[in-house]
Formats: sequence, C-alpha cells, structure tokens
Amino acid sequence: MRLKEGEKISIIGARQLAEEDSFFAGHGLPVLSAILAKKLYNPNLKICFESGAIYSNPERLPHSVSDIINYSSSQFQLDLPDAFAMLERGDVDVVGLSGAQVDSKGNINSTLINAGKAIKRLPGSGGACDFASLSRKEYIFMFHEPRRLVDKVDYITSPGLQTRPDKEINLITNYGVFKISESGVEALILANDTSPEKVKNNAGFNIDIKDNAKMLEDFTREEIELLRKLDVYGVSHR
Amino acid sequence: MNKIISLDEFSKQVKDGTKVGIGGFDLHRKPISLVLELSENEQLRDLELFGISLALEADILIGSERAKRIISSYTGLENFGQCYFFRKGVEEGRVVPTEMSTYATILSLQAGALGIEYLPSKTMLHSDMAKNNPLVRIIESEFTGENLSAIRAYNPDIALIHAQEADEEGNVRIANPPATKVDEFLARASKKTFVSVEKISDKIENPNISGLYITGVIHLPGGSAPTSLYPLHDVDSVAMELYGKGSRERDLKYCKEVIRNAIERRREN
Repeated sequence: MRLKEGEKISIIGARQLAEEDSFFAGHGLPVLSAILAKKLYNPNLKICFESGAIYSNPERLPHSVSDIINYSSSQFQLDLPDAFAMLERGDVDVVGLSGAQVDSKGNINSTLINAGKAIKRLPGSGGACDFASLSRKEYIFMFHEPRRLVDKVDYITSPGLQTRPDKEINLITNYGVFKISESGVEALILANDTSPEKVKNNAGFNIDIKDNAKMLEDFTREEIELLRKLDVYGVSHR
Repeated sequence: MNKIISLDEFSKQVKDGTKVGIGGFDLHRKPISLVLELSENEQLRDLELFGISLALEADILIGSERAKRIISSYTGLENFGQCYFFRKGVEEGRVVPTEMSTYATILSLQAGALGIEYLPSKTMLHSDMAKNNPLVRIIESEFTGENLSAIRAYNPDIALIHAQEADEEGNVRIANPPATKVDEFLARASKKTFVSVEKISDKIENPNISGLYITGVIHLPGGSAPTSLYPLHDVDSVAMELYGKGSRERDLKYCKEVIRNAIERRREN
C-alpha cells in the first residue's frame, strides 16, 4: 500500500505516543496521531483538548477544536479557561502541535510567511503558543521539506527550547523522529524509505545522523486501514 | 425591565470604531445573524473585532469593509479552509491584527470581567506575538523574580453572543460546552452586551449569564448557523465547505447567500 506523506507522519507520531500518559492534542495531525495511538498502542492515553474536553476518545478526526465529538466522548467536560489552566498548572505537560515552519531551536511559525516584500498571512497561533509555552515535552508534527524545516522561522509564534531548561522536543516528520536540543538536531528514528541525504537536503538546518539512529519498522496494514477510517477530513492526504 | 429588542434597535447601537467582542469559540455558537446585520450597514466603518478564535463572522465583516482592527488568536475555518477576506485584508494592510494566543485572549477578557488591569501567565514569553503588543507586557514577578506575561484587560464597547434561550430580564441559558465561561467573562467585560437567542423563555433560574450584564435580547432562531449550537446542531458542514470556496474566490455576495441559507435551513429544523 502506497502511503501519503501526511499518513506517514500520523503513524510515526502514533507510535511515539505509545508510552505517554496524558497529551494535549493540537488540531490536525497531532490529534489524528493521538486517536490512532489510543486505539492501537495506548488505550489509556488521556487525550485532552483546549476547548475543555478532557480524557477524550473521539471515534474519528474532529472537524475543529470545538467539535462536539471531543466532548461527547470525554470523561470530563470542562471549559476553555480550565483546560489552559491545566497546562499552566502543569497537570498535563505533554503536547502535540504543528505549524508552517520549525527551526533547529524548536520555534514554530503559524502566523505569517515572508515572501520577498510581501507577506503571506496564516490563520495564527490558536492555542499553539500556549501549548509550547506551558509544556515540558513537545511533539512537533511537520512535513520534511526545506520550506518548513528552516534555519530561522519568519516569525516565532510558539517558542521552542528557551521556554524552560528541561524542555524536551521531538520533531516528527515523514522521514522519522528527530530530537531537538541545545546540542542540535539528532535523528532518533529514520523511515526506511528515506536516506541520510534526503533527510539532510530537505532541511534548512543540520541534522546529525549517528550510527545508533534506529530504522523505522514497516507500516502495518492495520495502522494504515484504521488511519484512513479515522481521517474523514483528509488532513493526512498529502 | 423588558430587555427584548428588535434587530433594528440593536443595529443602531453599533457606531464607527466600536470595539466589538464576539462570543462563542472557533466554529461553535457564533453570533452570525447579528454580525450579518452589521455587515449590511453601509455606513459602518472601522470596527475593532475581538474574539478568542474567530472564523467566518470576522471574515464577513472584513469582506464587507466594516472592520479595521482584529484581535484574536486564530482566524480561519479549521478543516473547512481559510478566511481569505481576513487574509487579504491583513496582507494588503487594510486590517491591522493584534496577535494573541488563545489563553491570552481568555485572560484578557477575564481581567476585563474582574475589573483589574491585567492577569499574569507564562504563556507568550519568548513569542514574537508579545513584541509591540498593546495587550502584553513582560514583567518580573514580585514574588519569585521570574518573568511573566502581563495580559492586559480588554473591555469591548459591545459584546455579541448567541445562546439557546433568555428571559425578558436578559438572563441567559447556554447549553454547555464549550465557551460558556468565556462568554460570561465577555458579557461582564463589555460595556453593553447583546444576545441573540433561539427562544425567549419564562424566568430562567440559575442562568449562565446574569441579566445584570445583558443590555438587549434579540429573538433570532438559527442565528448561529452555519456554526454549531450543541447539543442540537453540529456545524453545517455543507455550508462551511461552500463558504470556504466563496471566501477563497472572495465572492462576498455568494458568502452571504450561503450564510443566509444556512440560517434559514436551521430555522426550519
């Protein structure tokens, strides 16, 4: 079965969430990964949404952060201020988010792109800046492309490593999993259909590939079929 | 005091440059009928829009050239696309945005509701959004010496909210969730609050928003379509898709038509 790049990101992400306890899921690929992880690898994963749906178990990808399916399937129904307060208090400190660009310090841009003299305007932060500012561990979901993995983001919407000294950031792309730390960006897991050249040439920052980087296990039919059933809005279809 | 008013009476309250706080969140429980009414007022200019997370309601006001400023954490249609009137407006400099995170917009209204100057948080520290932002200052905690973002209170001139029901005195019932709490902050933070409702009821006990904070109630069934109104109505996906296409082509007439039809459909259901 031939996979789309977004589908690879979603499945790689889901495998990473196998060991997590609770997780604030940003819209799009992070939430798709979280739902897949809960169904396949981690039935106890406590999925939380900024809208206040806490310990949620949606049966499909929600159409938006405010989708009722997040609430109707959740153990606790809080409201927006309470959900963000859970992050500020540190009740939940693992988050997943995405954006248009990421740099080697884990800064994410979802506000605007500099296109020569003009700017290209994006929808904005939403809760992403809050997720990044108030978490200890972050999963960043991004397509492995030079225009997205950049040396310096055009705008820091969601700050990276500078938010706290013990910050853990894992970048999840269609080429694998990469650890972002003060000592640089290092490959932890590499997809088996990529190469060190592809990984490096499609990033605007240096990625260190050591011998101990693991190879990704093959995607399974079960993963692919379930993912396609969940992704009713096709956010992974590219 | 009977607070039930007509749409026309509401419309007269909004003047050029008014700071308009928009209730609901994301694609949920937006005051679409009230916004549509403002979009039709050819004389109205330079509104400042404030919302936790804005969508087509902000897009349509910008497309109708009613708004000059926008304060929000997000302006888009989620899985249904982008707000192109907003996007072009900002790109061409006709609309000035103030960038906020979602939590920051909430704290801003909460501070406004409490009547205090600001609320502190660790969000937005190190974000470019905090630079030259009239609603954010980086301060040092008097207790720990740590840096904090001081999120300044925001007090709209007028708030627009859509809800399930209200009584004559303006007591409002909103079926949870989400955004019920933030709409209560919004009503308390605003100088005047207008609420459109599906239904006018007899006395509402234990309201989500007290009539004390409500200026006027307008009976507008279907007034949040095509956004959701749980538990009865999910997002009108068909209308949202069509709106997304219309916005991409920046066809204002078509976009308004899509919204009117969605309101009509919901009213009949």
